[in-house]
Amino acid sequence: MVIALAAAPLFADVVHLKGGGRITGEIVEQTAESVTVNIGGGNLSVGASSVVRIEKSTSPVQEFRTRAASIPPGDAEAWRELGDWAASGGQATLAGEAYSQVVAILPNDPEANRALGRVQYNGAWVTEAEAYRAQGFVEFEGEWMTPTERQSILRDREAREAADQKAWEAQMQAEAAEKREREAQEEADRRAFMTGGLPQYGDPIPWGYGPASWPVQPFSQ
Amino acid sequence: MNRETPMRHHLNALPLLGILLAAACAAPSPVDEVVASSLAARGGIEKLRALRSIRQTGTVSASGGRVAGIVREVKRPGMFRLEFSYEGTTSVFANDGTTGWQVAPLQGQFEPQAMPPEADAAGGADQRDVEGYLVDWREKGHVVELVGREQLPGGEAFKLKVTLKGGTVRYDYVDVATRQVVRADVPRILKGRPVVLETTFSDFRDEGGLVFPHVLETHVKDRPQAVRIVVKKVEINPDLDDARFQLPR
Repeated sequence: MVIALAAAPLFADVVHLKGGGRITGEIVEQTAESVTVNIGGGNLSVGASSVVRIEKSTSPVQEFRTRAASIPPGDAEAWRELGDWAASGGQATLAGEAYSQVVAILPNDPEANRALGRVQYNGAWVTEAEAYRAQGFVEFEGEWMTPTERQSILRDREAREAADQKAWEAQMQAEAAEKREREAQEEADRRAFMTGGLPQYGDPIPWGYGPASWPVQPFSQ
Repeated sequence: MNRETPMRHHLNALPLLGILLAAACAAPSPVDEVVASSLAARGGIEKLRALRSIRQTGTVSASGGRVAGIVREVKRPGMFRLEFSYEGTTSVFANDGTTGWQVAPLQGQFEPQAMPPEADAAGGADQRDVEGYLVDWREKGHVVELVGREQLPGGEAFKLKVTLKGGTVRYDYVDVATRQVVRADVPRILKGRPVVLETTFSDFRDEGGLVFPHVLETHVKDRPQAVRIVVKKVEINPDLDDARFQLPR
C-alpha cells in the first residue's frame, strides 16, 4: 500500500471542454495547439481550442488509496462505499478493486458481484461467459445470444450480400449489353458508310466541329 | 288491456336508463383506470404535473465489470442532459427541447456536436418528458391501449401499448398489485438491426412525495447481457440553468 501511495500522483489535471465534457488525468504534454492527458488506460490529445479551462484537483487514485488505507479489515460496507465513490467518478478500475474487496469478505454479495461483471447461475456467482455458455448462448461479435439469433443474423447478412452481388452483376450485365449495343451500332454505321456510300440528308455527322447534319445538296435542286 | 302500458313502462324506465348511462359514461375506461392508478402509485397526477425538473445520480454497470458514473437531468419543456463518466472522461449527451448534441471525449469527440433529429428519436425522445408520457397522454398526442395481462416473474401485470406521438410503439407493464410500471419493451435499432430492449424497474422508493425505481436493468430481448443502472440519489426540482441543455456556441 505504501508503494501504491508513493506511485500515485497527488493531484490530477481536470481538462474542461465546451459543453461540460471533462478529461481527468495527468497532463503529459501541453503546447499552444494541444493538450495530451494520460487518463490511466492511455493518452488522449485534445486541441487547445476545445479546452475551456484546466484545473488541478486531488488525484482520484491518491484519494482512493488514502481512503482504502483507512478501512478496517473486514469492513465490507466501507469498501462498497469506496467502490460506489470510484464508480460514480467513472474510475472503473479502482471501483473493481474495491468491489473485489467486498466479494472477498462477502462472497455472495449481489451488488458487488454484479459490479464485477458476474452473474448468478444455479445459486452461484460465476463469470458471464460461464453462465451464458451453460445456458446455451453463444458469443457472436461481442454479444451473447441464442444460436438461432446468430443464425438469423448470418442469414440476413448472407441474403444482403447475395442481393448486393446480384445487383452488382445486373449492373455489370446492363453496362456490358449497352457497350455491345453501342459497338454494334458503330459497326453498322461503319458498314453502312462503307457499303452505302455517302450519308443522306439529315444524317448527323459524327465529326465534332462542323455542321450538325449533312448539308442540302444545292445542285440537285 | 291498455295498449299504452308497455310504452309507459319504457318511459318509466328512461330515468333509470339515463342514470345507468351517465354512470357508464362517468366511469373511467379500463385503460384510464390502469393509467390513473399507475400515476397515483407514482405520487399522484398533481404532484407529477408540478414537477419542474429532476436530477438522478447513480452508476451504470455492464458486462465485463465495466462501471461508469451517470447524472441524468430532465427539465420542462423537453430538456434532457446525461453525463457519463468512464475511465477519466466525462461525456455529455443533451437536448434543449429542439436540438440534440453531444461531446464524447472517449470517442475522440472533443467539440460539442449537434445530432440529427433521427438520433433524438432513436435515443428515446420520450425520455425528455419530465413527468412521463402517461401524464395527460391524450393532450400530448400519444395513444395508450390496454392490450392484456401478462404473468411476469414478479407477478401479474397489465400490458399497455403506447403509441407515442412520433409513431414509436412501446409496451409498458403495470404491476397489478403495486400499480408501478415494472417493465418496458422499447424498439431500437442496434448495429443496424431492429431489436427490442426490455427494461425492468425495481427498488421503488419515495423521493419527496414521488416514487421512483432505483434499479433499472436493460437487455436486448432474448439476450442475457444486461446493463444495470443503480440510482443513488434523486433530486426533485433542482435549479437547472437552461444553458446546461443548449448546444454551446
